[in-house]
Amino acid sequence: MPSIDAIIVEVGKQLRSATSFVAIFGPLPSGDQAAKKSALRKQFAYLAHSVHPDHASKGSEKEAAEVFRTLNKIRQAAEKAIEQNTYEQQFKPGTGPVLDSDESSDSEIQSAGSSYRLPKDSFQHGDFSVLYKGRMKSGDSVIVKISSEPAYNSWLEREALVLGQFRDAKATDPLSNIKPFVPALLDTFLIGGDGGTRYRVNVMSYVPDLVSVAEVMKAYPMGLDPKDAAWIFRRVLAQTLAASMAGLVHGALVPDHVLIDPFKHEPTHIGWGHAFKRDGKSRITHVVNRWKDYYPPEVFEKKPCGHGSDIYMAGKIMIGLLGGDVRKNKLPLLPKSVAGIILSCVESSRSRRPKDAREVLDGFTRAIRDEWGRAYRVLNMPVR
Amino acid sequence: MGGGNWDPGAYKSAAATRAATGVDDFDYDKKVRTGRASGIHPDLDPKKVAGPTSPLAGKNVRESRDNDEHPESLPIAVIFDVTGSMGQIPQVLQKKLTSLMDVIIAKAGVKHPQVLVGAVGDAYCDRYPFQVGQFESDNRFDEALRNIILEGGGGGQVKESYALAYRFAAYHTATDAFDKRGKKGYLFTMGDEMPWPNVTTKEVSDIFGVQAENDESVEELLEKAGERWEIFHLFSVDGSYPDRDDIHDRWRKLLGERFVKVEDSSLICEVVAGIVHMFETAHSVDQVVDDIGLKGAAATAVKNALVLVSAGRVPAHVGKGKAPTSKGSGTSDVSRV
Repeated sequence: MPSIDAIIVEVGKQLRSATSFVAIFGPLPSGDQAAKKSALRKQFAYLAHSVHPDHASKGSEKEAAEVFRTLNKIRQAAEKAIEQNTYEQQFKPGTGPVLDSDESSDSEIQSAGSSYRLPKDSFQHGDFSVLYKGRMKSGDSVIVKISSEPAYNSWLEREALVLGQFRDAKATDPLSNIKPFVPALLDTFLIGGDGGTRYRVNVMSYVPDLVSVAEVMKAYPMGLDPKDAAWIFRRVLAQTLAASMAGLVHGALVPDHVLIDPFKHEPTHIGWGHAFKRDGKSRITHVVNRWKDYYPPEVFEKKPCGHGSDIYMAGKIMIGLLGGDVRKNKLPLLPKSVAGIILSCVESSRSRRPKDAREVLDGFTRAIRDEWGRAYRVLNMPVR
Repeated sequence: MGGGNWDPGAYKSAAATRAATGVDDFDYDKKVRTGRASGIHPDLDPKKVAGPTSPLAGKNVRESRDNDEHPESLPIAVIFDVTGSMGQIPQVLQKKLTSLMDVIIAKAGVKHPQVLVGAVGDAYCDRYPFQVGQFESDNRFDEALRNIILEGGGGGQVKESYALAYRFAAYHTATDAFDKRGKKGYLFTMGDEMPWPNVTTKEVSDIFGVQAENDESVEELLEKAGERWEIFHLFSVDGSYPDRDDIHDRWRKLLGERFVKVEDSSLICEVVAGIVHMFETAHSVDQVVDDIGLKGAAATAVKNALVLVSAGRVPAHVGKGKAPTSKGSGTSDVSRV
């Protein structure tokens, strides 16, 4: 008897590779729609029981939840197919099971080497782009990011260059250690639009369950418990280090650009379209308006920006996350050692800020371990 | 602007006609020098505004536009120093650049280049510190070249007004390449000195006929122009200051590896075509020099010029299919500081 976890994995695989509803739920009795739907529900209930996340062992809950969601979506699509009398038909070649409610509105874009199916609706907006949750031929989910104006192509190109730098780092290069924490760039190309227009497309692998620090702030408007914010701050500091190791200034370390996994406590660093060479002369030329208070004074003085500018923004994120006053650098009640480190990051003079985020990270790690120990709690996010 | 086709035969026959009729190749310059014409040629006046058929009619811009013959225009601007320290180089460039279109189309594999030429001098003491033509896909850019006045001026400060070229690119150009495809054009300045640190509001109003809010630093202008242009400075090693470290260092600080030393200014077309080719294809320097068909000393000279220019580029492959929904309104929550 295979383990429940093995069954979940197997069902997930079969769902992704199925070529028809019949292959998933079996043939349905001939007769009226009600009888067919009733039979479908029985089959669904059987399958759902075997993959239900409640039955999965610890560690497999996420996989089970994903499979369960997929199964549910396919059930909905199958019901629709019954109504439209298309239940017995094979899926269109290369499309996999129908996960989106209206398959006919899916579109496909192709690069030199791959093709990607995109749903009609986007699932996110970037600073310069629209993001779609697309699928590769294999059925794997990908993020397909398309510039929202041709004039923004260069921002996406900069992002592709930076992500490529991480992706192509050799195993001996310390930069390769960052790979798990930045989006994996799979493809970058252009597509045409109306009137001879061109849009840059960056394709990245999809990572489920990520939330942005901006979403965490929204979920905890009165501020997050410092014990929970502590590990997030460590991830934000890590993002400044990732930039520094790549010879870059991140340039837009704002709450939208730090993604975290509330269960695994791992980050994904994004927002690389804003990054630039750490050359001592380049500056941050563009700011995300809604996070204006998070940018250091040198930006508005049009002075060169560096690692210290990223550190400043990291500090501001921590203040915002704790429910403090970002503009006035006011923190809620915190252990002195912890507060001191955060406030040092947001000194308005660059020369008074820490020089290296690694020192901040080490100091902060020591401080929080002394105060709260080593374990991180699961961060509860409201159901979206 | 930007219609027509470049025809190398047409250039040669026009040049032959001029020779046969005793007209100097660089007739306008000669007329100005001999007092038979005065002032900047009207076509090269930076104050000249876009014509009535342009969507930007009345605005002080040079346009590079797509058309049926040239559906994917790629703007390439070459603006060279015509001050005295350059010696005979401006004359050489004026002659050599007539074949730029040839070299770019034939050797760099760019189908629809639109070339603009211009000249910088010294805004402090020259009468015509900035002259600039239009983006052309055909022989008309050769006319612009012939109409440039080679003033041979400049002061003794080893500084020229290169920043006028960056001011021009930043504020006085409009290109379909960028507006429709997000694709930057190529801007090359060439000279042997360093840039004056600022363009003053007075210079902007005298030269471009518009009001600037403040004096503009060369850094600011490069940054702004760099949003729509790939910018290179070609340093004429055969000018007056081949070994002045202060000049080299100033440019390196401004442009990094895009400060390109050109040992032999007569190879300007090959260097420009080589850089464009390298950026368009991400080929290696060796491959690029090979593609351009250079051998011997010329190949070495171009290779030396290109070797530092990093080809940090993303693939320009155009895939199939369209974005699923109509694109955003272009309103982004990001603003320039």
